[in-house]
Amino acid sequence: MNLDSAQQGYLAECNDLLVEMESALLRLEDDPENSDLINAVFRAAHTIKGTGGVFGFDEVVAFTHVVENALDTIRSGELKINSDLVAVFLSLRDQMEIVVEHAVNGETLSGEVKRQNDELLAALVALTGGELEEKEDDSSEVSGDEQADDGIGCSENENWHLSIRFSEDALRDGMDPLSILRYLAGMGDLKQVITIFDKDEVEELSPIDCHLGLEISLFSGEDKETIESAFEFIREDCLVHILPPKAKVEHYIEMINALPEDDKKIGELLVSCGALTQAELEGVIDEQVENNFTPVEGGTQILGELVAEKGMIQKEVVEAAAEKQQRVRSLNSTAKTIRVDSEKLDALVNLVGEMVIAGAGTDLIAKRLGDDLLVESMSVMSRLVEEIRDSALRLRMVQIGETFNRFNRVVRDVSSELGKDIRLEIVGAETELDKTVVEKIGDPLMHLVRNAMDHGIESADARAAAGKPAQGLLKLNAYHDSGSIVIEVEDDGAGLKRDAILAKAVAKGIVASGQVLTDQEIFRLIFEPGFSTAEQVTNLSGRGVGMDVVKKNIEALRGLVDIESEAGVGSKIVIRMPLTLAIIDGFLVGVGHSSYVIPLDMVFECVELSDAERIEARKQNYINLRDEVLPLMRLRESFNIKGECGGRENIVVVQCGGLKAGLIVDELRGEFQTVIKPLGRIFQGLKGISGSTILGSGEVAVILDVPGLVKQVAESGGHVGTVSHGIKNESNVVH
Amino acid sequence: MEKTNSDQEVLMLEGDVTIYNAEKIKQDLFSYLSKNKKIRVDLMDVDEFDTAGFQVLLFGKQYAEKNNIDLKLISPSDAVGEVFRLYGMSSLLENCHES
Repeated sequence: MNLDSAQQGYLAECNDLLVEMESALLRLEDDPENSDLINAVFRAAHTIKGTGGVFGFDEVVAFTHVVENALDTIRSGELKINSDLVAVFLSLRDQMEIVVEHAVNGETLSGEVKRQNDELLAALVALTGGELEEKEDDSSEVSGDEQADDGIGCSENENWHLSIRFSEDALRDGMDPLSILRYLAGMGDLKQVITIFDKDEVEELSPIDCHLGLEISLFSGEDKETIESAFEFIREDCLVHILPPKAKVEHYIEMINALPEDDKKIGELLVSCGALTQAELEGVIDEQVENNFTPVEGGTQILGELVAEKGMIQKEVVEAAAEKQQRVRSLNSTAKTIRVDSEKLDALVNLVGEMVIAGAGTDLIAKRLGDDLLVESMSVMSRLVEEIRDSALRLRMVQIGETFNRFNRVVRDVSSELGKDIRLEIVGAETELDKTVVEKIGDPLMHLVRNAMDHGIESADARAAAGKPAQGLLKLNAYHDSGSIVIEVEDDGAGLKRDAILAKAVAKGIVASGQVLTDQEIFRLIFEPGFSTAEQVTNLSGRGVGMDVVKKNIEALRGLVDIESEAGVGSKIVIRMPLTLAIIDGFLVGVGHSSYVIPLDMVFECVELSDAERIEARKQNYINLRDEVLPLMRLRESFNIKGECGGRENIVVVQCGGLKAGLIVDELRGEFQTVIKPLGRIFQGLKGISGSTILGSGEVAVILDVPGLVKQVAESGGHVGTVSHGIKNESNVVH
Repeated sequence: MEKTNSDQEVLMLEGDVTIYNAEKIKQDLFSYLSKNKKIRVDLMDVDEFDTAGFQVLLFGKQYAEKNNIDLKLISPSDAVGEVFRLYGMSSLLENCHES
């Protein structure tokens, strides 16, 4: 495998794991006893370290190792999770991200990063240190690098002691013990190897079953992880015990108990192997008797029971095995998902787009030729193309949950920064939308979330005074609505200060004084450019930091943003975005010789104008449609198309964000699969147009920006006529 | 594979002594063990040697010991020597032909 791509894979895996770790940590804060979460955090650290080791990223290993050890003490229940610890682990997680990135990019850590490493690790030790020392006294657990000081109860052995009992199938599985011995020999000095073979009736034994056990004394400076790695492929079915140098005698006792052979024999083996001195062994045997440690029945032990009962197989080994299984399981599940370079996906979607256009062209020719068979086969073809288009687009759909979950951390950090207690509630995390949209929505959302926490939600005191619960609530909500995705950022804060905003707008010259505006219109003022410097906002204590930027970003994605607010109850910012940026179902209409595409999702109905209505419509720009006021827009006028409509006119009723408007067109041409082609830079400022597409005939059709048009109509048209004139710099008003 | 030298049987092992032919070699060895009291297994020409091969010789040794058979493993090739050394069992080997 290409090493570069493997490293990139590692980076991607690390990022996934770090995200997982973060969310687990955040949840741990509320649920500190949840061992699944602790394990998830541990597993993430462990895997990052393990895989980092494979690539030889020493800095990653060194850093993560300390984190992992601390996590281990938590996992074993010796240390309780508290919010200080979570905070440190979160910072450590961030640092891990930096360290991993450096390693993958082949950069050495700068002094700054190293300093941060040390500071964070020091903070960690400060929180865990006391407990870690205690652990030395009463722990029965063996941890690799924990080299007990030369106090009482430690063996004098300077070497690692490894005890292995191979499974019968080892040889047939291709796991020759020799390869392990050779591997270990490469890691240090094999001081002593004792091969255990205690079978009788050798005539009956098959040499291709493995009947061996090994007691190994190894002198090595490697850490436990490295030594364990020698047994990676066998530890599931073989008994492996690893004791570090100067391990406590009791650990030897445990091991002796866990081994299948007679205790006495093992004891002697250990002595001959140099692991224990004779005196130590006698001590061990005494202790065993005292503690009634040896459930020996006729010299043999009930191994399974022992292991289960006393946890004598090395915890880490068992966990490693469990983790391996986990990895196997996750391998199975990854078989269902594959990572694909998003460029490849884009290329596919582009090709499908071209195919849609070519298909439309062929369809046109078929119809012109009038060959029934051809037309019929073309219609089958079109249906298939449509299905391919849908599947191709679905490939790009991702759930918004991942984006939302990032805000857990943001909310946590910002609220502690601000000294507020804020809870984040996420609704509709499974709502899907185009990956490109997801990528671009992150920043505006971040802005809105921070704003809501900073300016929306009041301090605890103010909340108490207003009779609200002390904990503020921030809600992220996503759902689908008529071909768009709607994302809401809602808080239960004080709401916008209507009068202050109006005063500011008047002072800024955005609104002429004396204008009567509805609350809604006043709130929307915060999205106006020029309403947006920090100092104004603090003066106002309202919203508005860069809100115009947020609005611009969202509009660049053909989205809409709106705000609802109620004093004392809270505010809600509603973002409405198209589901995809690539291909849409369109409704083709004609005005004069030009064609226009209206996104089909937004078409509500088509109405034919009677002569009487036509005259009425010409006068007042709205009609009465089933007792509702329907503001109208004449596309012929809007786009300045010369000539008069020859035949009858049609109204396409479009709706967007709860507003309806009628677009008057000459001709309805029907549904059309529309591949959105971006408009060139010159056209980007144009209002009312969101893109272009190529028709089957090769002609260019303009895609209408319905949300923009509806807004324009609503503002200029019938129902609230006075409003738009009040906003001076509203340049897009069409009369 | 064999040659007779005065009163002792010599079993010559050659080429590969591995998991692929270990069963067969074990049968050969044990049929020698059942018929003779003094056997030399010559390992000079063993090129490939693995744990399965090692176990065959180990079985032989143990059987011989129990049944008072004089079994010696002689002239180990490098491949054989390495395996016995790794297993800490070099003492089972004799380094040269006995007369």
